[in-house]
Amino acid sequence: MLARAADNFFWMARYVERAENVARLLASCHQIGMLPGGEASGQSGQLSEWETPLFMTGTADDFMRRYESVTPGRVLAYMILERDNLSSIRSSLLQARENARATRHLLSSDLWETLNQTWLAIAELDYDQLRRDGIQERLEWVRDRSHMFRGALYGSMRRAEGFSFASLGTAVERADSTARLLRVKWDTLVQRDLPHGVKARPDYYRTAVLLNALSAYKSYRETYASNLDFAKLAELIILREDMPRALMASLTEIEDLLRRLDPAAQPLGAVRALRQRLRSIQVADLMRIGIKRFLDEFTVEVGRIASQIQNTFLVVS
Amino acid sequence: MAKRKTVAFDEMNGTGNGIRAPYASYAEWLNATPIEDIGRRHQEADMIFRRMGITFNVYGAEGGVERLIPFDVVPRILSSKEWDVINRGVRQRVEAINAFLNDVYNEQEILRAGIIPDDLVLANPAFRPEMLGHRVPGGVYAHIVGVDIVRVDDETFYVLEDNARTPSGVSYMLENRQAMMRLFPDLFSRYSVAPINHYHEWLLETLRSVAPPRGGDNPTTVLLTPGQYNSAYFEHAFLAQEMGIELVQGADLFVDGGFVYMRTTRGRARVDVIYRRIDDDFLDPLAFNPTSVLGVPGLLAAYRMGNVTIANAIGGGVADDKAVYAYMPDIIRFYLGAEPILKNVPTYQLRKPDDLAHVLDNLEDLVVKEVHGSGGYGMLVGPSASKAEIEAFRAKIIAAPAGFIAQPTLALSTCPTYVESGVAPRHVDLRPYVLCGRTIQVVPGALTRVALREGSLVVNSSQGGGTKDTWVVEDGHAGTRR
Repeated sequence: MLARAADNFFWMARYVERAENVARLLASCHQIGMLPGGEASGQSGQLSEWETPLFMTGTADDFMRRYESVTPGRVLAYMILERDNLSSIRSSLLQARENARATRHLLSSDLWETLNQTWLAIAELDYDQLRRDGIQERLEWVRDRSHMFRGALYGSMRRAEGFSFASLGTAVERADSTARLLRVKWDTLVQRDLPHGVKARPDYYRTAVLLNALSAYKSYRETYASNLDFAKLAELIILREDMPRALMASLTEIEDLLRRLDPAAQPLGAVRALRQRLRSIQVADLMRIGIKRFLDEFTVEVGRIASQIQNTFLVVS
Repeated sequence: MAKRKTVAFDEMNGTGNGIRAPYASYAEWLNATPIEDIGRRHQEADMIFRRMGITFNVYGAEGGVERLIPFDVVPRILSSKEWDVINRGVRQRVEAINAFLNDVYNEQEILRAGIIPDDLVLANPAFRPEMLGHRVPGGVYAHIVGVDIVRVDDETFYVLEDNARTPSGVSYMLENRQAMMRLFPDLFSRYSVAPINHYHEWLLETLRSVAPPRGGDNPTTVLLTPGQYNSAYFEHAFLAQEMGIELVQGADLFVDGGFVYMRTTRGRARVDVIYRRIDDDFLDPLAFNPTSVLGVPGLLAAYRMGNVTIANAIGGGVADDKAVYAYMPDIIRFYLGAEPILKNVPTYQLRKPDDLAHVLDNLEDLVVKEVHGSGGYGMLVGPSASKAEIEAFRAKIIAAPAGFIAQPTLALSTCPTYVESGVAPRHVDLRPYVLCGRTIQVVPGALTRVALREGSLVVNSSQGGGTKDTWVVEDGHAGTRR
């Protein structure tokens, strides 16, 4: 297929996935805001709850230029609707739809109409309407539309290159977004006001909210039948093959898709190396290196893989 | 200023002596159907079109706004006898247009015979000297032509314009039919309406039939679009999808060693036929507008080497220019030795002093058009213009008279149309699409454009026009199934 069309497929799916992950994070912030003390600012050196979406998307500087302080309403308006914020849900859904539109002749009607409908429903939405609809409901809607997008992709697109590049976009974005999400949330999970000398442990409510945001709460219970614990949490979100939003699972998907596209594809080397690293590492090692440092390294590697995919298939000279 | 009240010929009611035959069955149905039902289907159609993203982009509107072209649920119905005249008429014109283009870019016999002034052709901005002596496959220059036709009475059709460059709108013809069949299945079982939805198969056949000989048995055909912000992008994507060909932009193509290639995920792939929806000026920055980022550097060279076919051919605009239009009856006689089947509208050429004087004296009765304009822009409709508009236009004409032509205001026929107040007559035109490859083919149907504002004669979508499905039905009761 045309390299540009493949690029459109790849980015169409990336942007849908990006919107979904921002929605997941915002929903978790919104829920934590309902906990006692939830809206209090972070301890010194830590991100407060409502700063996390800004840091996850790298928009904190831009946000602070516009507003003097972080408030839930401002963050929600900025991250859901702001036209000038390229990481807002609205912008991502617009980009997804524009990429789809550029290649709409190759999309099944189901897929195109799903994306078009999603865009039309948010295009004219303003903050007042958003509040009337309910913040939580609207964020769940974003998640639902993303599920529907993948359903239409899976259920109606021919298993050809377009399907592969879209699936690849989803997997790459999910690996990146999940790593970033966990990175900005990690410190906020520690239970506060523990007596001096007591080993740090996760705050039950905050951690449960995060697990829910990653659709992983029930899986945690099922898998470990144990109380919430940092090491198990890290293992679940980072190392497990069977958790669809886990980093390992996304990498496996990337490798499969690339192999199917071209068994000699250049990016396969970097993907295999990264997967090998995750497979050989123990969760104890992760905790020793430091989760945040590991996640930073992981995001850099995923970025490298994404640009190799771009150069191999999508920008052909 | 009071608008002139002319009672136009109506497609359903004629001049008021009862329902015309092609509409007999429809009128009965319309009578029996509550207006709310029509309104509901009208809304449904809107929803279908919006969900499917059947839109056009408005030039100059902020952020490339997408609009729906208003679709009217009342069909325009033509009898097969009427269609037969139109069909033969437009084929004849396209045959003549291609003979004319082949001639002016090669032997130029028509100029030597003095049928048409040299400067009108050779100094025409749409004339491309680069095409001189270049033989195109099959001698075909205008592969896809949309002929704009209006009707003034039971028997008289006039050709307003031959769109021989990159006519658009055919996707609406096709989508309108799909929508109508979905909304009014009962009507389609009542009438036998000639099918049109094989258009894209004929289009692909047409394009492949003019591939360069080196293209082999399976020439690669692509559709070249300016991109998704072009006003007709929906149509480009639609046609590419229907034909199953790649939808490319300039940056997807490159020329190497005199051949054109597209960039794919698996490297380069050769291209044999380009159905371009980009104007001549933007096709090749090396040959034409150097600032064009829409085109393909070196494309003209590859074309002149005969390694790629461009449809429609470069330089075809010289045949549909509004000044050349006036000579079309002579052009038909010259090449085909036959009388035109469809009439031309009497046209004043403002380059001629006598015509100019007459037109300036009668602006309030005439339609004045820019010779190189299109889309209803830069046009004066005398009878509906204000004094100030007329005076402003007068100044424009006097400044450059050769840039304009004028025509009498035609009493365009009306067709019943669903509007706020119910079903009321609105003026319409007709654009059938002619395909010319090794043979000429026309699907039995057309795009009917309708001026939705009461009394308005401007049907262009950019100026508030809408569209209708156009039915060709068997005459009288033969076409009515019970």
